[in-house]
Amino acid sequence: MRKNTRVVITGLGVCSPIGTGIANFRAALIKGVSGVRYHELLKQQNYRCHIGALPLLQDGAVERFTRDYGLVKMKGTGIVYGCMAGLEAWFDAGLELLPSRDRQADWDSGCIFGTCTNGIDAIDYGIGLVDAGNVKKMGGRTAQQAMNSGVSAYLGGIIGIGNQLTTNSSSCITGLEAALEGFNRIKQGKAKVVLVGSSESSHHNVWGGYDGMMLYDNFYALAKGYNQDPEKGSCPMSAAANGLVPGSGGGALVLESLQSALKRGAKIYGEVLGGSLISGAQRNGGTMTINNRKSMEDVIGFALERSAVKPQDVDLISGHLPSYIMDVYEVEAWAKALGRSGRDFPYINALKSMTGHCFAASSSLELVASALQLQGQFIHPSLNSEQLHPQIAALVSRKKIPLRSVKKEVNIVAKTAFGFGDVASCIIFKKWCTD
Amino acid sequence: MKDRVVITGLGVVSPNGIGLKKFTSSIMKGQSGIRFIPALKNLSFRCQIGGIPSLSEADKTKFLHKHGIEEVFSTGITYGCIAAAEAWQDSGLPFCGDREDPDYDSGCIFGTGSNGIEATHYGIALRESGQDTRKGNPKALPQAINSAVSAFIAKILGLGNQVTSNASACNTGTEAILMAYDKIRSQQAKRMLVGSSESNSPYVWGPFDSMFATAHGFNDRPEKASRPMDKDAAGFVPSSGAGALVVESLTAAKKRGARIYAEILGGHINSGGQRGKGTMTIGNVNGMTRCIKNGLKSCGVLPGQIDLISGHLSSTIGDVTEINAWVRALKRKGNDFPYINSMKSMIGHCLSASGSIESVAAVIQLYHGFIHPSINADELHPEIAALIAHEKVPPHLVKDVDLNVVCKISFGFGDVNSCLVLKKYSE
Repeated sequence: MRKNTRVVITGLGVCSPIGTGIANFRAALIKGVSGVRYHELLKQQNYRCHIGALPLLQDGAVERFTRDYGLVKMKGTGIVYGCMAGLEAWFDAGLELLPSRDRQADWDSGCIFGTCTNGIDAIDYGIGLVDAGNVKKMGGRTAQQAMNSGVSAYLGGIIGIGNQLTTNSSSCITGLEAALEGFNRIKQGKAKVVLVGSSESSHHNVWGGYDGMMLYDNFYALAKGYNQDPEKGSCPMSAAANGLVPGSGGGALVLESLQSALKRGAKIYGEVLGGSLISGAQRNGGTMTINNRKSMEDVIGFALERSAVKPQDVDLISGHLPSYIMDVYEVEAWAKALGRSGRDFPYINALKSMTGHCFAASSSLELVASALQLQGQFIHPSLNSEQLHPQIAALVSRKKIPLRSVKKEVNIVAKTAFGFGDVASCIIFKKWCTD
Repeated sequence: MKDRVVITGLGVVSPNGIGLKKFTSSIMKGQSGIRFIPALKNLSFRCQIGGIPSLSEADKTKFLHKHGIEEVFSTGITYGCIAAAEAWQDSGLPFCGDREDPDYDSGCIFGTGSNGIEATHYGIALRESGQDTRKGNPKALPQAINSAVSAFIAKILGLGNQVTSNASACNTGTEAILMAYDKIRSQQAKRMLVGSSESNSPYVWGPFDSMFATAHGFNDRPEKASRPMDKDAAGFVPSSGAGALVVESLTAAKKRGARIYAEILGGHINSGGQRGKGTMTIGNVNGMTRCIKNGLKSCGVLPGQIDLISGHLSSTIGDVTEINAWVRALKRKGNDFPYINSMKSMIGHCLSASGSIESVAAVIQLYHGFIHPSINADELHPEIAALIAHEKVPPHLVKDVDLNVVCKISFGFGDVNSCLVLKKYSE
């Protein structure tokens, strides 16, 4: 680890249920809009939860995008969302695509772009043909869309990535993990630029799987009783939170060594100080679907220690906060790890209150939101949190969970993400200043 | 001073042998694990042969029961867990009890390309059968997520450091080893269980069959179908399995008196960027050459020091590109070229699992001092024959050979590459 190498954020891209493109996304964050809608298809398929959040895309946007980049007809929505977000971030950073006639790739630039189930659309397509004995009709472009690394492979080809090009997968911490892997690679001097992010497909089988799943005891994973009131369904930290609202999309960040960013005169959104990735090993209360609460607390402590940030210096927590009992566990973990409560507790908000839970894409969307809040010095609202869960109200002052955006000085943002498999993660961003 | 990184445990579930002992004897004998698979014929696949580990239902159930796992949909997850548990035990490490705290010093990077496919299929079939989707098995979904295999392994072993699954197509297994090496070198972990696995499923193999990537013309001669470097190589043989390794800091390994199989000197991960002659599905010689050169540069190994190359060599036209890359990078050819062999000649292409199974084979050869045969390379492809001597591709076991440095290389869709440099351990 080269102590003197600093890592900064120089580009952002987003394809989300509350807006595609950074300008739209920023405006939606400030305004506090919900991207959760009722979906008739989910009702027809007899699912319990009929609400979800799909990326806001104009008619024909996907077709235009795939045509512009020669992607033929793409089966995987997650791959397209990821490519859209990834390329926006790349251009936002002022970087260019390597001409296709070049013989050498861009050796200093890597891409770590994660997903859980991007291949599902192509797999669904392939299964249908195989079962019908029509494997020959599948065509030559299914394998690369069915494999989990499809999204990074497409991005790599479009951009001309010559450094590490891979896809990580660790359920709902995927986006945050990708960012830390990119951070490590730059810190170790192995790359100058790494495009990081994650995406998730809008396939009804992804959501359907969660619909039938119990997280613990008889608790079904998705929000209940909100089919007529979709915008209220995702209500992290609320007493009414009773399950997550499924979503999809993609988020991307360009991470870069400070030296490279300064040399190019790139704009800088913020600095990445460090973070931690651990697992609770499905012990001491942790299971495949619920986190070990001690490890939720420990990961925050490890991240602060690695980033040399003191608990009292955290200004804003961008929570994982999926809108069920995990919210309470998470706020308790923060209160213990920071030794702060009541009015002394930092500001805390949940992007999932607007976008639902975009699974693998969630934490990269939340990192993009964190970077925008740092750069714009504001705190986005946490919708539907009017009636705080009593155990949360006992720990955090009402004022620290904003119902409307507030202008505030934000110097340090700490972001957590937790996921299936009992995995826990935390990353620390700092406002960019030249000293 | 940075700590050295060593390999202290191995585990394998391969089409030609489950478990280290059986696998070692199979690779010494040059035993093929490729069989005719009637199900593929019934589904009208072009290529009706493949490699499937001969895991009995009874052994599978016994293993899962022992580790408190109720139901696993995916063969890839089962293979991965079996290989991981073997490697952990082989390394002499304890299995952390259910009530103990997670071991924050030990993590897991275990990759896959499509392990979730069986659970996904389960969900799709349920929906399409018109049954009440609400009555589906709630245990299915977590297994459709790509990281399920690493999550199961972490539960079995009690791993508390980073637990994740990487995916970079057929490059996955070798990449996982190099990523773990970085974690340990940068002192973010003391040891990592690494590896990769791939399910045996017509749904995994179907897309490759459809794109004419798999072997054709060998359905009646399964054991002859995978013939890397041979003039008649006509596509890869799809296969499945898992490989696992315990990668550890030398200090941690010495402290607990662990047996050391080999040292990881370094390596390199890159992409050819789908430029030059590289595409989504074809590797680029510039990227490969650079990957090898930088892998050697990362640890100061000179081209002349390499004793054996464990190739990617999948029995496609890519074999020619790979040999070209080696000759360019090492500036060695003809009789001066190092020994080179292909594990895929015996077990076919285990896709995501290939890099880890082949790395296990590379470590075994290094540790025991032999070179396994590369079968079916009866007559080298003329472009390969023009570059390297046929003697360097051993058709039979080479015994009692003093191997010091072995390079393992893997490539994958997306034009991705990784090169791992292994050395016999010495103080």
